[in-house]
Amino acid sequence: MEYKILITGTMGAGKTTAIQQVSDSPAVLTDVHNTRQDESAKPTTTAAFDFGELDLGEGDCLRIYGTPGQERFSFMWPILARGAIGIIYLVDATRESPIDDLDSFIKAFGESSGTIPSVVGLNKCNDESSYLAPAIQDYLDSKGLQWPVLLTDVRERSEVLELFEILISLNEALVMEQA
Amino acid sequence: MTDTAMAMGSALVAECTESLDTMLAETNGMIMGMIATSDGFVVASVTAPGRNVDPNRIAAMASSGHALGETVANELAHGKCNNVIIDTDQLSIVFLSVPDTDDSPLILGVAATKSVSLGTVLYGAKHCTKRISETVNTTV
Repeated sequence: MEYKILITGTMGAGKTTAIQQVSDSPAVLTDVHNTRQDESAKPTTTAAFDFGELDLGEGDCLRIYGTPGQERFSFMWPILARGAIGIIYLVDATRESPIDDLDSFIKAFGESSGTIPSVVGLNKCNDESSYLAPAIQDYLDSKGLQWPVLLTDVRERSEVLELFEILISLNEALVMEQA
Repeated sequence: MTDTAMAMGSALVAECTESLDTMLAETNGMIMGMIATSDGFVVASVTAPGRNVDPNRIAAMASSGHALGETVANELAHGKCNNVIIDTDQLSIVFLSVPDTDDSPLILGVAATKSVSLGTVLYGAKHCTKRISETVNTTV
């Protein structure tokens, strides 16, 4: 079985890092020079997509796609979402309005947001961001979205794998419900 | 003028615009020319009369398309991507690297009707990238 999973979120949320941490082969990147150092100090940014593969054993495989983060590349988002069994919304806890960031991505994915199993990964957390997880959960509740919210550090392979495991479990539950 | 264009300076943008105007004037059937940063911001753009093009959207798509070309070239170990060609029923669309802009790479995007051959489009566009390269490297 092949599963396609999408990782999305703002520029610098950790999408590329997450894919690099788990991909069995060197991740396919479409990095370009970042001219907007005021938006993010990263030297490069993703212009089309990131791609990685993860062998789950017993013939199962994950195909992992990461979106570009900036709104100007939003034309890529529905293309990349086709066929995905789950979406990971990565939220950068250090940004000014993380919930607004999440809100804009959920709106951008439109109807997919309500039907595809999804999980929110709150990345780059520090002492000041402890309020964010419950605030995000409240926001999701207000939208009627029963999605797990996890504090994560995408530099840690095990934590990225945990996000994937949750998505696969949610997908299996959905398949059973639909059977 | 976009933030990116302002950051690059009005003199440079004016010269880039002039080069694009020249390219459109010299190449029959060409309907659009645009210089964008490799991360998808417009530096300068010109459009033939009667054609409605949103340069900001095309700049972002040029960035993605060109980045994919670079990635495929790297994957096959065949060096730098010089251009990406999109052939439609009605248009030839090409995204070209502007040479010698490695520190802050630029892309030239052009679109032309099928009334002109792809070879002619490529000739006009490559000539334009050389002019843009000279402009950038003498102005910056």
